[in-house]
Amino acid sequence: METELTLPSYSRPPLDEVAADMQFATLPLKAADVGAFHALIAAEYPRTLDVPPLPPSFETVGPSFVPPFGIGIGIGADLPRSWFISEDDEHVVQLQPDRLIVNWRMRPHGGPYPRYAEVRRRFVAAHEALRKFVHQKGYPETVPNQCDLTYFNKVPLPANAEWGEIHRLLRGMYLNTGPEWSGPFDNCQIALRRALRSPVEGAFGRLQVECAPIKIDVTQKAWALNVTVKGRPESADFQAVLDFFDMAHVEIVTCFTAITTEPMHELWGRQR
Amino acid sequence: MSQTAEIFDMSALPKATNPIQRVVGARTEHAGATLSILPFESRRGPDLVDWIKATQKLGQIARLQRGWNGTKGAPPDSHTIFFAAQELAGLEKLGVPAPTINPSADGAVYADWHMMGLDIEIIFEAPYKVTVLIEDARQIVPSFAGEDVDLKIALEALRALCAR
Repeated sequence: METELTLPSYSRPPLDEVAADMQFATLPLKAADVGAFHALIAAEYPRTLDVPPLPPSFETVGPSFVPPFGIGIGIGADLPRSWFISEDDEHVVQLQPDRLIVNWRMRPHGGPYPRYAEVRRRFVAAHEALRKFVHQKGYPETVPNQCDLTYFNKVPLPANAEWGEIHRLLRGMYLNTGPEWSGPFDNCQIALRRALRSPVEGAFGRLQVECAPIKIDVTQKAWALNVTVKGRPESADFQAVLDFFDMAHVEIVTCFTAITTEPMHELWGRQR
Repeated sequence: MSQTAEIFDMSALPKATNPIQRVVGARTEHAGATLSILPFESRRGPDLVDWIKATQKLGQIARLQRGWNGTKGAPPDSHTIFFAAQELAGLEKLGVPAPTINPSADGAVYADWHMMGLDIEIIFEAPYKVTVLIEDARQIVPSFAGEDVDLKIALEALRALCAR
């Protein structure tokens, strides 16, 4: 991708997972259909797993950004979300009646992040399989109504750092106190949001950064730094979904570099 | 150092496939607290019981079957209901009184306020397809009938309603 050549890049990014997610008007899937879909992608994703489905989700331009009410609504015929997993365990296609998600994930002995272009290529291939499958079954075409791209980062704490020293990860986040009180904070969680408006009427997105303290294992402390762009594509065409992902990729990569500190960039091997 | 440890649901996490990250820290209001959502100046706060009833009504609407009205009534699809729920949750946070919730035979979800001389209807026809109708018996709030996908016009009317 041309834009990839101009974006900030790191030789050792702290990336743990990337998810490209397209939500669409619910398809009338049946349990038996899942096998037919799998047959189309089984060469690349031979293993399967069922997990609970995700509820619908919308980035709204309305008054606030809050989780929806806890209303119990079935998705499709309460079908699970099916995972189709690559042999090397690094790539996953997730399908449920109203979602197609493609993930790359870091594995303990796996390769490095294959870059956005590869995630995008796999999403296009998975969508093509879904399109064929829907056509074979005589189901209506998928009508996308929401998509998002998320980068999940795990940043191990630098030597002698504590979770509360968030300024070592994020620029300008020094939690300084007045003379009345002293002592460090144990930890902090941060959520930042920014609306991304499109010139096209009705299209809308929001960039969201979440930072929280985590433990990678029993002893290793880290920060989770997740950056998401989520919203409504400019039209119901698949090309609009890809355009949304491309826009989201640029926003996420530039935001990530803009909000993190230069010592961290050095640690991650910033190349440009 | 005393630290409380618990699993925290970060909003993007459910679609991650790597093992759940163990997050340490106190659970907080999930990032809703920005200046833009400070409550309206209101003479009476939202009635929690009314909002619970509205939530229950949305749950009932979600379970409607085709022909629910004795004729050919279409049930709203789950995406429309979730979209409506998300927008209404935002209104509840702003301190707006609970609306009356009803389905329509063509699969839309209606949220109505008829009080203090103001009639406000928000019609959720599909995700991002929202129509708003406003009538004010006191003729202070301008009448409106049309699309209002970001609820800007509805919010102004609801702000006026809260102030009455």
